[in-house]
Amino acid sequence: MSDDDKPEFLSNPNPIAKKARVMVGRTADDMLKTAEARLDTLKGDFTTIIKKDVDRLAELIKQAEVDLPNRDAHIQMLKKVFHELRGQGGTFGYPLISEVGDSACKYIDASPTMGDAQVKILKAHVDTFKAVVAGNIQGDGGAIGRELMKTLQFILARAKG
Amino acid sequence: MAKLYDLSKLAVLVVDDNKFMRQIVFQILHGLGIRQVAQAHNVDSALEVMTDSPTDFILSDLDMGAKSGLDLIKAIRQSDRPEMRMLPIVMVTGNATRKYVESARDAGVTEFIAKPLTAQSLYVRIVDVIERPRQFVKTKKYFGPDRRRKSDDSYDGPRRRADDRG
Repeated sequence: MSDDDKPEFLSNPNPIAKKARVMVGRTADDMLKTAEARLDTLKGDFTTIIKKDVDRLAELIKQAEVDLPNRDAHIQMLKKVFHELRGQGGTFGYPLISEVGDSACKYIDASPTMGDAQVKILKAHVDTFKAVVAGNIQGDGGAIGRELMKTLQFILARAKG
Repeated sequence: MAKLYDLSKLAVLVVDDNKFMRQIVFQILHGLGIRQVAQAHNVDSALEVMTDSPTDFILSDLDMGAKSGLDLIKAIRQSDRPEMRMLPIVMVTGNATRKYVESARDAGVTEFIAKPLTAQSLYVRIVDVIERPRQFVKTKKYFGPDRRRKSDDSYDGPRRRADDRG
């Protein structure tokens, strides 16, 4: 390593440590409960959002099926919706929504081309998402949730050959 | 049980192109007692907010369309303002693949937080930033927190870190 590349180390002024004051002898439990309660006030909004997203995803997959010149753009928009869902589902007690969103995003990322067969697989994700929302399936979804995910995984495995 | 910090004096900037995600983070931060929460929907707007308002740390999404969270990190770490260059940046990600993590680390991110966000996970990350600051490294190609998080007892190369010389 030449002298020119020699790293310079600078101490971290860490100004937030000076502004944040530790409350000796107290735990964060009550504050965390307050924060979770505030988060819960958004649960109704999330339910409204996922119902709208069902329609949005159904429209996007339909467009991806028929509007071939713009298929990639429709798929990217579909991925964006699934990406947000995967991030938010778990926050509001819908881990299955996160799972379906995660599976769809990973499938899109792993598909170098988007032919009819790939669009069919994504349609299966949209249908699974519809079923989760229609059934208001929360938590792990119990037997119905497991069955839905098993079916989706079977479709993915069959597509891989 | 996590110890309690009074965070009421902190000013946080939340950057996310998804309005609902910003609301989620806003509610959690308010619940944690943080009252000064600014919001931006993209990188340019975030940089404007930072020029106009005091910011103590940043919570940013990674995937935000044309300009990503990586662009934000780079803009901050290359800023002419010293107080801005060294701000803690916590990247919120729902896609913590190795590639993304490495890109963000090489751009100078401070910490990551994985979705789904909860009050607990966000609080733990903030406390990490407060209690475990890493020194900064400046080279021709990099400016940001030291990317080596752990000391390695088996390492026998040159010891250049400030905390190696204690």
